[in-house]
Amino acid sequence: MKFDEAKYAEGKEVLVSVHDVHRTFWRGEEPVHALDGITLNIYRGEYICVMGPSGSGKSTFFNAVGGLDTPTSGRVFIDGVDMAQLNANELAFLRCRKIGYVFQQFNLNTTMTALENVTLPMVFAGVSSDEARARGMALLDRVNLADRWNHRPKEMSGGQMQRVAIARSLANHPSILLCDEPTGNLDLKSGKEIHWLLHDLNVKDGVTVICATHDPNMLAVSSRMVWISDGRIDNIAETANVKIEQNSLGTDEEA
Amino acid sequence: MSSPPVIREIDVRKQHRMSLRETWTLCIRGVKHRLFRSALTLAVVVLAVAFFMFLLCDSMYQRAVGKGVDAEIASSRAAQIQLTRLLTPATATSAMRHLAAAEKAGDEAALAEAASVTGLPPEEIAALAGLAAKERLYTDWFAKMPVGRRLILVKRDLGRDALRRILAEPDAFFRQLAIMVDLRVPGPRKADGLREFLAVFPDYVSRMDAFLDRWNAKVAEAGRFTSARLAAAGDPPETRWIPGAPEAETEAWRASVAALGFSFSPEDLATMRSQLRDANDEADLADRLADAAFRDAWKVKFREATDSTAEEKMGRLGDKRARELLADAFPAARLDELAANHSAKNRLSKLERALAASLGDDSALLGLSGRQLFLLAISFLVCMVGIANAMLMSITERYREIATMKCLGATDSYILSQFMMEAALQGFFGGLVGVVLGFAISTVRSALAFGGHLWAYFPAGDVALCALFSLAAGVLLAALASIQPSWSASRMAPMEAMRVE
Repeated sequence: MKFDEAKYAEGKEVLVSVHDVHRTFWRGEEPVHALDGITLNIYRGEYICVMGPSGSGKSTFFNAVGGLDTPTSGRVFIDGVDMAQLNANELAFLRCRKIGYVFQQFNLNTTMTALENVTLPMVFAGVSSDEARARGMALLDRVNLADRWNHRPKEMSGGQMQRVAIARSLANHPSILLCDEPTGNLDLKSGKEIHWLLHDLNVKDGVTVICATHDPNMLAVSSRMVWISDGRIDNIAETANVKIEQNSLGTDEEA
Repeated sequence: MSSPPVIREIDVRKQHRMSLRETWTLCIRGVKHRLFRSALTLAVVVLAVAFFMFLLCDSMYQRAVGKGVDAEIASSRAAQIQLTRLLTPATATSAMRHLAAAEKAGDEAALAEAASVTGLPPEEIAALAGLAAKERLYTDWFAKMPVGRRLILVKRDLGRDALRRILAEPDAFFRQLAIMVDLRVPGPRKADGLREFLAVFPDYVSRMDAFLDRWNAKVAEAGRFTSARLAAAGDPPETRWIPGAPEAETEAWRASVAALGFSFSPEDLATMRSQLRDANDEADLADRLADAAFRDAWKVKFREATDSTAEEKMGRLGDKRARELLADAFPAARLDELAANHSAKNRLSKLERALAASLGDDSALLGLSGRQLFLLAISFLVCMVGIANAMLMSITERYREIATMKCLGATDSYILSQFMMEAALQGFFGGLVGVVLGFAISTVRSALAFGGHLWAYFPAGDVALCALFSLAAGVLLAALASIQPSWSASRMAPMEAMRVE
């Protein structure tokens, strides 16, 4: 069934707008078109999964949306703000407050405790240390790690580290959560914990989640799926209209 | 596909600027875990600062011990110097040097003595001393100048002759001087100072001659007193008469000399008597040891196949056989004293020779010689390169962390200041260890070389300054060296930095 954008967009607010974005890398003399004209609207409260084989331009698309990279041409709007017009400090502000990042490698600061990691973005945002502490503990509680606030990353499992990373990404109430293969480095059980957490955040807290993944469980909880290949959008589909190979989703829902 | 929405006004205010205190807190939090992990960086800083501290400390020790040894040698020769001053007429050069030294050291007593001996008013003496200091400045300058330049400027003349030659043809001299651009006239006013001095030079010479005449008249009078005393005692040399004569007689002699205006206190006389006694005994002992009959007796007593030198014999004065041989002239206790004096003097003159090479003149920076300054500069450079390299490495390996922090909203300036602070902290801790290390090495080395002299003249204040200086150098070098790598790291787009592995 063909995806009908007009019908889908009804009553929804555009949060991220990617308009004809190109990104060209140069391998010596030879240009490599990682993004070759992508246009996509992402709506507030959506849970969107981006898929594609490696080398398809998926990561480049993420970086463009997250303000981590500047497109060669085209425009990216986040909350109506044109990313290309921002200077370094304004970009830092945007990254700090509008976007939360979750990485495949967790990227926690190994010298800091869980709480310190979670409060780091609040320090950057100028939140007072008492408030940061209270909010940090609340966020750790949200990801069920309140009792481990004083542990360092090396004392935690992969799943716990990823949950700390998610708590950190939520530190300044971002409207968008960008997850780059968040379960790629985790075992099945930890992976499920993470995707239910993300699902929960999306449904209960209204956070817009943009997620790159191959994990069928994650696909199942999303509201829309986007396939990218060769730097172009290959296909878009509402999850409700797609049949996903489900293995153990039912048992998880009971847990 | 829908068209992009209308560009809303940019509602992004300026990102929160991290205060230094916030940066510092975050930095400290990381550093206490990272400090021992970045062992290589620290080691480089430690070594560089230790080397620097070692060189500085070593120079300070040499300078302090050198000065102390010089003073010790001077005081051991005090009697000889005093006698010469009292009994030998002064020359234009010696008077000039005496007054100039008094002027430079601010020695009021010496100036007062000059006034009381010559009967000239103190203002005149002070004026003369000031001019004498200038004469010394310029004549020393000619003496130390490279020969080729001196030949061009003042031909073969030295001292006052050189000044007289300039005075005869000032234009030619100053023309040549202007050509030698890199040749700097000493003194605060450079060539103008020299011109001013030359203007008063003839007047100064005649005033100095008047001073000399008056001084030498008194010296001659003191000589007459002394000759009378010596004649009454059967004409011994004064060096024998002074320690040997009854105290009352030498005291009377001292009083009559002091009455002429010379500074010659009873304590000076006591020092003179004991130093001359030692010198006489040393000379007698040396004569004895060199005497042919004594050497034969020694050879038999010690069953030596070949003659031992006087120096070797001095080393064996503690031996019972040597004491028996010398018992007629020197009691055992006196022999011990003489042997101790002799070895102390040997040590001193050895130290003096060793230090003479390393001592620069006082005008140089920190009193260090050119060679030492060169070494210091080179070590500073090596420090800089080593620390820069270590900083570059330690920042490159943290690109991922930097990228993450940028994703979390860290500004460029925050990253720059955090990394510079960390570098300065590393510089501080590495510097502390380095200072202790350098201090320990140089102190052990100097203690081995100078023995007790090091502790007697230990330059605690200078060493503390050196420690501060080395520490500051470590911190500054580390901070400076990290500017470039942390700047380029902070400017990177997060993804670019994330990709660098």
